[in-house]
Amino acid sequence: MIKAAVIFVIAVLGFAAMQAMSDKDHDPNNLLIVEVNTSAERTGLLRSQLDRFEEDNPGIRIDVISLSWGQAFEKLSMMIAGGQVPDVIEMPDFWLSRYVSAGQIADMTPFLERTKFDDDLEADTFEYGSIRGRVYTVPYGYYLRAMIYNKKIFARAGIEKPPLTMDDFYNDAAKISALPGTYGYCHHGGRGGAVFYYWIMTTMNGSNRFFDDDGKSTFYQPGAAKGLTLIRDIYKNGYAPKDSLNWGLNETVSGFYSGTCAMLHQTPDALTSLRKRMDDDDYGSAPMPLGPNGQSFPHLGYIGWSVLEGSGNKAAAFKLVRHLLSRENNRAWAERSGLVPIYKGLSENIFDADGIGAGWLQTTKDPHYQYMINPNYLPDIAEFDSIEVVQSGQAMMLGEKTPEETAKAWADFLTAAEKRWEAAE
Amino acid sequence: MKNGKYLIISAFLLFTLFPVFWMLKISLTPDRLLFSEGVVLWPSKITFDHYYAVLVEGNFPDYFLNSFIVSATTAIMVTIIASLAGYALSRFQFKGKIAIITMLLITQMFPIVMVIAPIYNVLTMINLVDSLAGLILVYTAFNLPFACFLMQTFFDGAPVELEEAAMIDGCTRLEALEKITLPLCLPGIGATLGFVFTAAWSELLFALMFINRQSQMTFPAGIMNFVTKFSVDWGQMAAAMILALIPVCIFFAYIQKFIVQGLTAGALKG
Amino acid sequence: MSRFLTIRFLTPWYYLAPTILFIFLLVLVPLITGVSYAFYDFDLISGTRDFVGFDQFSRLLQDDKIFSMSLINTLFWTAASLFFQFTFGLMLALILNKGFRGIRLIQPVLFVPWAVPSFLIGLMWVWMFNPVTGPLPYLFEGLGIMEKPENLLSDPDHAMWGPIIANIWFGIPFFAIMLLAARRTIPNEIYEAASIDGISGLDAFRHITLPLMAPTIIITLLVRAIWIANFAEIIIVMTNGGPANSTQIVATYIYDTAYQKMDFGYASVLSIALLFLLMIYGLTLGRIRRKMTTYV
Repeated sequence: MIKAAVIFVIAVLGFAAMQAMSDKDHDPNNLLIVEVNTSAERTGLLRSQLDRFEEDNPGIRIDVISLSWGQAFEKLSMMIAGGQVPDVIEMPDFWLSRYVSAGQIADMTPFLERTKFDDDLEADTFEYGSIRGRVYTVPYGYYLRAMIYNKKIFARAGIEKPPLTMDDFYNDAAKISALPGTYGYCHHGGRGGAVFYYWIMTTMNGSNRFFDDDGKSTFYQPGAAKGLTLIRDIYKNGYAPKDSLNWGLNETVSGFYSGTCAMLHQTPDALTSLRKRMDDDDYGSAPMPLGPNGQSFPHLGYIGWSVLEGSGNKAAAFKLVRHLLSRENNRAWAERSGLVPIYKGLSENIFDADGIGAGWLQTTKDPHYQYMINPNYLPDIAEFDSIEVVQSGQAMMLGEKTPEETAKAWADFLTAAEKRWEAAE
Repeated sequence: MKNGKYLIISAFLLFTLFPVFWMLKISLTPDRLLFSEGVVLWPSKITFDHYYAVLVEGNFPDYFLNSFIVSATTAIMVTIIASLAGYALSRFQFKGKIAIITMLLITQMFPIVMVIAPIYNVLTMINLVDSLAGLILVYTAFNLPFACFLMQTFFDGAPVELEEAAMIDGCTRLEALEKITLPLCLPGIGATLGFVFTAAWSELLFALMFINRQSQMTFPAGIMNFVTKFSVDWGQMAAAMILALIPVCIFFAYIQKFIVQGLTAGALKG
Repeated sequence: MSRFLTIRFLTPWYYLAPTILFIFLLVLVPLITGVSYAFYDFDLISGTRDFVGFDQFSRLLQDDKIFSMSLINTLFWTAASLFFQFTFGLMLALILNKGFRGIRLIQPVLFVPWAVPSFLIGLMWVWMFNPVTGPLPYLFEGLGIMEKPENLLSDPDHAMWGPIIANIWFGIPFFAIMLLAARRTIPNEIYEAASIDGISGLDAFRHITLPLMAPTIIITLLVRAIWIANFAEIIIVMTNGGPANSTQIVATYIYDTAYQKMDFGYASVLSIALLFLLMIYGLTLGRIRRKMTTYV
């Protein structure tokens, strides 16, 4: 028995040693790409686009690592810290400055200057992924917010149209909540919910700017506190489900398709999971409600592809990014994920004017709607969005802090961060 | 009184099984009915689609195999190594014993989160990140302290006298251990195997952090794939979970009586 | 003679060597690295580390409200989980010890929760507490605990009970097994003798069962309390510390600090603080146990 045990232990250790010796290929022709917004169907599409690249570039082999969204940030940073540096990574906007300030992301500017991208890219595509004038990531699509609403519930509450203004938004929410077991708004109070607060604050302010000319946060302005008061009242008066205080993306979406709540502030890629569970005729989309000055500033987020500074073959990695963003690939990609594509004139292919995509299509065309872009260049923004705003937002909704105090606390933080950013220049 | 006992047992059974039953129900409910029917004990229609998807379309057979390899290897490794250590702690008085016990205890008090990044670096250094072998080594290390204490109790429960008699008859210490003491400790060994296997089978944090490739994922890490940015595929997740419970339950049903026996034998003396 | 001595002196270390090697390389070295983070301003992504000495410790002592809040929550989480796990575990152990029809089949079933991965336990219970998909809100309403079927997890005053209930479900088998084993070590003769003296039922439990099981009970409580205080997974899955930090325990706070804020330095400070408190607790309980065993 003891002999067998000793043999077993030695065998396992020997196996481990063999694994350790095996040279995990450091061949620069092997590229490693990491996706973070993973879903099984999308991984299939990515693989087929990569296969195409391998065919066009003999000798190059590409491996994919698919991280699941919930743990992607931790895992990717551990991989990089541990020296397992990928060549290309999928880069959400709010991570960018963290990685760039850590010196991990390769500057794409020289490559983009040499390379002809089709010149019909949407106007600011390179601008969005830039920090201090250097391009670090090129978006593959835009996560634009619109209001998805449940037509059946609206009809039951006797409302004909989706809300056009902020007042409509509040009143519709109230009317719907009078129906038993139904709530007006699917509040996103957990992680990832920050952009809704930013939308309501800037829209009530009447400007999509985060900072005034002196670098002071616009959240000091009275509109910001008014916006927070509005959403606080919606919650306090029971126009949003009580547990939505802690809802993440998943829960808001399932709250919507389960018919618990009738309005959902979401990006178009959420439609893929709604389609599986609802009939197309039962829901629609509209642009975000307008503020007091007749404008609204829906949040525009993006995810793009970045090349890592530590990549062993940056030239090939840039080329791969270029390949993934070709018009044809981008179209397939945006269609599959339901994103606003980065090429002009493609949106019509993805969003049907009279169907579920109407809200997004109108937002991209109608001048009443201007995009709000988060100050993604601030290295502190990811942490602020995902922790500070969530926790203090919950405290405000519960009545532990007033909207005024909350707006001021956020403004203080943002102003200080902006000052640090300017000083670092 | 007699009825009271059965009432209490029924209450325990209900509390234990109801959540599992609920998962089973979800795994059999078609996606569209899941929310539209509201809270009902049994859906109006059932489907085996989720099980089909998990077993045939997904990577789950791989995950199960990986999990089994990792858990079984870890369990055997830990039991062997911990038997030696437990034996030493039980049979010898020596300088440094207190230090060893303190070391083992302290490793149990630290939040695991703090060591993930450093371990990741160690694994990268020895080129074992993203591999089952690496996972096995880490699991072995982290399950050792508790297993050592367990094995020590079992050896404490086995009489020293027999072993000494055998040694006087000319057996070496190892021979005495093998022929006399180990057979007495079999339930204890079974118990340790069971503890460690279950722990390794259900471990998530390390598996999630140290494994990237689909082909190397264990079942708890693989199940996280059902959580995408926007939706959780509850039906498939529930189906995967029910499937994952089956092997552990069978294993556990078999091993639990050894656990109790083993612990009883250990505690008798200690 | 001298050879005999060296062998006797070294033998235990041969047996201990593999354990020490494993623990040293894969637990202690990482642990020490982790502790050293406490003295650095450490950025995982860039790999930069600036020595800051005890700065981060004074931050903990001076202005970390979340820490003191999460400490209170940790106490509540640990005490409540432990109390119910223990009480129900003891009840179950005593019944299982008596035996009943069908015990061979039922006992393994009752131990099943122990084998369920902890994050799945969290997900399962999230589902149970959700008013759209789960039965519990309606049960609470029916029992008159709630006015409307609402999600317990969204109520900052009571949200902690959600993870606690899940943890009780998970933890009963562990206690049941440990205590069943301990109960079986008490020889039946003692009870027979006692019943001749007219002691039985609750009295026997109080004067025989409990004192004789006390050492096992205390060691199990000690080990388990430390384990539960460090056990963050269920809470992370179920509430992520929310709403408004009402379910934030030190262990989840450490997780957030390390992996959401990527502030490994401060996370390490928090871990050291937790370790320190747990060690004090462990030493105190250890001392009590020694007293009790000499007393019994």
